[in-house]
Amino acid sequence: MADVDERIAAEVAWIYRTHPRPEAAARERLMERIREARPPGRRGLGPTWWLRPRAISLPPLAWAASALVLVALGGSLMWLAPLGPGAQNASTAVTTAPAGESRRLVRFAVQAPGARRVALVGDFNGWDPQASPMRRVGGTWLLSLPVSGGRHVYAFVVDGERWLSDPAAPLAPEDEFGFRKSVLVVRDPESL
Amino acid sequence: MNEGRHITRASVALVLLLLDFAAQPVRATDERLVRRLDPATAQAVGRIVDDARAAGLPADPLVATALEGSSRRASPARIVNAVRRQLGELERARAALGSGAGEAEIVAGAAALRAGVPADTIARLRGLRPDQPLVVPLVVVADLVTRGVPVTTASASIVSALCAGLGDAELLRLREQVALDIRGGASPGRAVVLRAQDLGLALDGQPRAPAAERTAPMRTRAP
Amino acid sequence: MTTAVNLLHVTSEGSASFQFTGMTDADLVASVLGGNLDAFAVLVDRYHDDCRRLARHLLGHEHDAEDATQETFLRAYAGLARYDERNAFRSWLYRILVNQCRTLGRQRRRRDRRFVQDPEALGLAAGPPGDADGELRQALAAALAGLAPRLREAFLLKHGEGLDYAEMSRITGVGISALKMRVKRAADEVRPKLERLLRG
Repeated sequence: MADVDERIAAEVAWIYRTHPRPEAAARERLMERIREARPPGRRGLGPTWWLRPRAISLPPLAWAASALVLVALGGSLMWLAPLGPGAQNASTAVTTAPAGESRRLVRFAVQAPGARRVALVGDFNGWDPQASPMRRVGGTWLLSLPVSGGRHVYAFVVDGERWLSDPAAPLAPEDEFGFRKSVLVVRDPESL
Repeated sequence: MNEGRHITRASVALVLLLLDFAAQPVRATDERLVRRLDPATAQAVGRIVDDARAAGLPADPLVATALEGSSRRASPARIVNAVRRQLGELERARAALGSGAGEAEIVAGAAALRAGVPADTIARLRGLRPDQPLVVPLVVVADLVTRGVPVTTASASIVSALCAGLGDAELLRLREQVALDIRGGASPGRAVVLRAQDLGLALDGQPRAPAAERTAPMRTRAP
Repeated sequence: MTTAVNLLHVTSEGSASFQFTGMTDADLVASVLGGNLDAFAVLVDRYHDDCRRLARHLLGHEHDAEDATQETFLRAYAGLARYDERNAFRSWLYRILVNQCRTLGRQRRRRDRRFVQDPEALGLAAGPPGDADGELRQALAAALAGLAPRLREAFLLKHGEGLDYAEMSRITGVGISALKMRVKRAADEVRPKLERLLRG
């Protein structure tokens, strides 16, 4: 009887996991309604909120990178502050290209609230930490750059010495120089 | 002073190692190399780059690697090795992808090879998607392996995904979900297996159910 | 001339979901409370499909499932300040969802007097004759549909979602031993209906 039950459990799991298929339109319908809804009330800023321990487990390699991303006491206060309607987003994004341009504008973003300066480096700027300093908005560092179509690799350099990959992006395999860079794929503008 | 002589000696040794004493004219795009690297290293790298061009392989990634090495303050020997190794990977990637492969595909393929994805997996992906760019599948499989997913599992998941006709957006979503799961503490291989199952994929290239005798394959897509 | 390559950061059609992918759920919640709606879109992206799936299997009706899921997220959004980040966001969300499904399920049962889960609609259409797997799955889907709602709820959380009893208890508000009993009773009910097919 036990293996019959196991078989049943397995089949239930299969049916369950494979149906129904994910549907983006349903998510969009929901977001429409969310956008119309009243924004949630703000959480009380009592003294214990940010003192509650956060249980976070990360693979060892991610610690160096996330040391900057994890909430420090000061950092969490920044996230509590309202960002306003022009809220800056915390991750890299690509936009459409202006007509006739062979490159697309890419907005690079990384959370590094404790950093003094952050630079973008990548194959599109010769990996030069002086070439593309990012600007700081709250705890987020931003920079927009035109990038040509294709596969690119990039990273962020914090305070002139610590190299950080983009936590939101795919990883390139470790290179000769002991580092795993981030990958950016940009659609060739002519193809759109 | 000591350091300067040391570097010069190493550079000379490199040049000798490459067994080419003829001075090459510096081409326009190599000016970046000349600006950022010492002359001997710039020349050594420049020659590898020329070889790439002669073979019809992308040169920009090689230059970029050298510049990256310079920014990382790597030794000249390491820089040249890195560029040489990458040229080999580009060659093998093109062999696996076929001569019609685009530049971005070759570069993505080279990275996948470096991550440990076998060349015949890459060739198989090409066969499953002959007319559309493979960049995203290659980027995704390389990412999964880099995050610790066993090569066979990662390869099987992407092969299976292409067999099932999944598009780039879905592949990227899969990658994102798996990365999140791993960050949440899941074992990488298991995370891929589960997320692939969510998409109706089983990791031997055939969509199917667990632990049952199969007669005909089940339809896994909702009508 | 580079070949056409696809845009990397498109994880769902047209939404803002590609942003914030490095952030934890708790971070995203904090961001939403700070006024950033796009962070909520990411939470939706992460959990909407799973919620919709649970609702679909609990309720059997596609539209009911979507209603329940929408309602769940709307309530989560409205009550976001009450989310305690010591708990998993998924559990908190599922708790809201299970309650929504109970409510909607009750309403529909009052209207329809029976639970009809259409295997066709779930994509479980029978394959060619002699398709043993297909027949089994149809029978299983029918058997699940025949379960009392509480039993189905426990059974799906255990074997569909793969949760442990402690987690199930947090989500359903039901005690662990009661949940074990429900799962067992569900299995006892489903098993005889499938035995013939499993042996064949």
